Amino acid sequence: MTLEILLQPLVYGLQIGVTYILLALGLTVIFSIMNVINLAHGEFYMLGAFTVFYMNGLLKVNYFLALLVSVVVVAAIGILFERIFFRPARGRVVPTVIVGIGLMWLLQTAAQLIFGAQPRGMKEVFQGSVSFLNINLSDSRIVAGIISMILVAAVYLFIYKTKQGKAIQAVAQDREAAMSLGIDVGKVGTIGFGLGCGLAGVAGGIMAPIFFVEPTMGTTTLIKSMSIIILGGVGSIPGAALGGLILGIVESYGQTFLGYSATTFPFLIILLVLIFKRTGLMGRAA
Amino acid sequence: MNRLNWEKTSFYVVLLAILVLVPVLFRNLYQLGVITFMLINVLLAVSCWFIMTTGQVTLGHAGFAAIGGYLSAALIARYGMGSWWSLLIAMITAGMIAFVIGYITLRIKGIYFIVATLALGEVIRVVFGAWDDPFGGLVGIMNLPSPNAIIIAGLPAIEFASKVSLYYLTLVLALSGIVIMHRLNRSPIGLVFQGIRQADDLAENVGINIMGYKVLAFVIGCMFAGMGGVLYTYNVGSIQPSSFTLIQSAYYLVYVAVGGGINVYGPILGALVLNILSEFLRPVKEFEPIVFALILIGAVLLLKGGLIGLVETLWRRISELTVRASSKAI
Repeated sequence: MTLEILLQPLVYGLQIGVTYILLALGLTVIFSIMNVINLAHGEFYMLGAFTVFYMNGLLKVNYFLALLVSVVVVAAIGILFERIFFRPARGRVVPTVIVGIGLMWLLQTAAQLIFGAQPRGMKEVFQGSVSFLNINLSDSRIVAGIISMILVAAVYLFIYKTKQGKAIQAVAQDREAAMSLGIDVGKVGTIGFGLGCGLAGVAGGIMAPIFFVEPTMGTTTLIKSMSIIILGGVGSIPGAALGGLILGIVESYGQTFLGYSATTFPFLIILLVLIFKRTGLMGRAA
Repeated sequence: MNRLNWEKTSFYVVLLAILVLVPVLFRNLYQLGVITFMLINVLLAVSCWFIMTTGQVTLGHAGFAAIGGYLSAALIARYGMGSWWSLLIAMITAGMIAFVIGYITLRIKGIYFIVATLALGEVIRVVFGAWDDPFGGLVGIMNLPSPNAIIIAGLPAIEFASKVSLYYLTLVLALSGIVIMHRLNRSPIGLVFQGIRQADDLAENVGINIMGYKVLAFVIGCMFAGMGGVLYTYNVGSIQPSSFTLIQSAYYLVYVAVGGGINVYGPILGALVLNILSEFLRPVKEFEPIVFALILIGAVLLLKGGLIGLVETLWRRISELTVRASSKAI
């Protein structure tokens, strides 16, 4: 009895945590290219969620196809926004931040006009659940966890094993040196931004059947993603993975035992990290 | 030099006269209410700009207005405290919270301050929404009494029950806040802020405690944000968690970005122009945020000095022309 109360949140937390990793990886990749947080990151997550909501929930398109569409659509919007809005502001922190909040504002209110402001639930894609030692996990959550794990692995392979991934790492470490070595920094920016936004979009699509979908869902998502990368160490890719899992689990226990006040956890995590270990768990010293 | 001073003085006198005469010029109570809120927005825009003069962007400014408004409302409604003490306590509390957050996040360069202020703004909304006693949960605090009358011996008591008296109260408090921040900006402290914004490494190397100054700017700005929140509750008579959201913080940024950040007139002009635009957009209210978001992005990318930059360039051209014309006449 007590064991399942203690283990159930852990299982939920791990599943959500793996999806958080996708979000945090997206934010980290964009951060390493622009050197500034993309404040519209949560809105790309929201767009991904709505894409799946409309494709699968209303048009009855196959769920996995809908997920694929959400990646492509959101990545395309991201690349477009990078070209039009972020590239002219690049290199200057304050304009990039303000452009980010402008885009967040724009996408959020446009979504409210187009999709309606009220939260909407999507029908679960996979009915049924698995029970083990009295711990329940719905099929939707299992599928979400598996897709997220596969994608996290794919992103790792991309960043560490492919030429484009190495180019992103090079730009992140030293933009000027990367340029002098003949790396097309503009192209890296496009790929990195597309990847980052696509990851946010697919994370939204993965979460859509499990949680409500609403235009304002991006704000809390952004704050969660930011707390993960600060916890893991800004710019650190293994850190994003560790931070994602920790936030998922801590938040899951918090919601079970403390309820609503668990929404303040990301903020508390940010403050605690800054007080006790400014570089985060796996970050390099500045 | 003399001519300039004379010009400046007459400009201020005319401006003050217009501000004092507003209730006579706008007898319509709706219009007067709109102008009162404009003044509050100007105060909030100026306090947001004041923090930005050190090169920091705060995304939690509405959160500090909420702290001020909520604290003063709760002290008055639940604990029967007088309005003026509650105003003071609300401002000091907003300043103290800003001190703690600033002290933790401004020690380290980087994204931390932006991230923390953004998260703080949301947390404040959630906390006030979840806290039933004394903050009233999601309903908030309703039916606040009008501020206490000021009684000075030998004079009739100054009551604040009418819209007109509330306008004058808002005018006096907002104006004093704006003037204080303007004077600070023109003082040596303001020059240090400017130095930090332009080259913080250099400022640090010549021995300036840049963290201390950044925290100072943040604390002062947030105290006046708290004052703005209190003025809001005085005028509306209630406060809800939805009164001050992240989007509200974005409004203050757009005021500064459109007006320009070089001096205090930038945020003032930005807030006035956009508030008037907002009135014109009232028939299509639901599209207003989209218009404003596009204006914000456009202003940052295209309008480097803001409107005030344009005005100053024009003014310089005109005075050059008049000087040339008058020298020709001689």
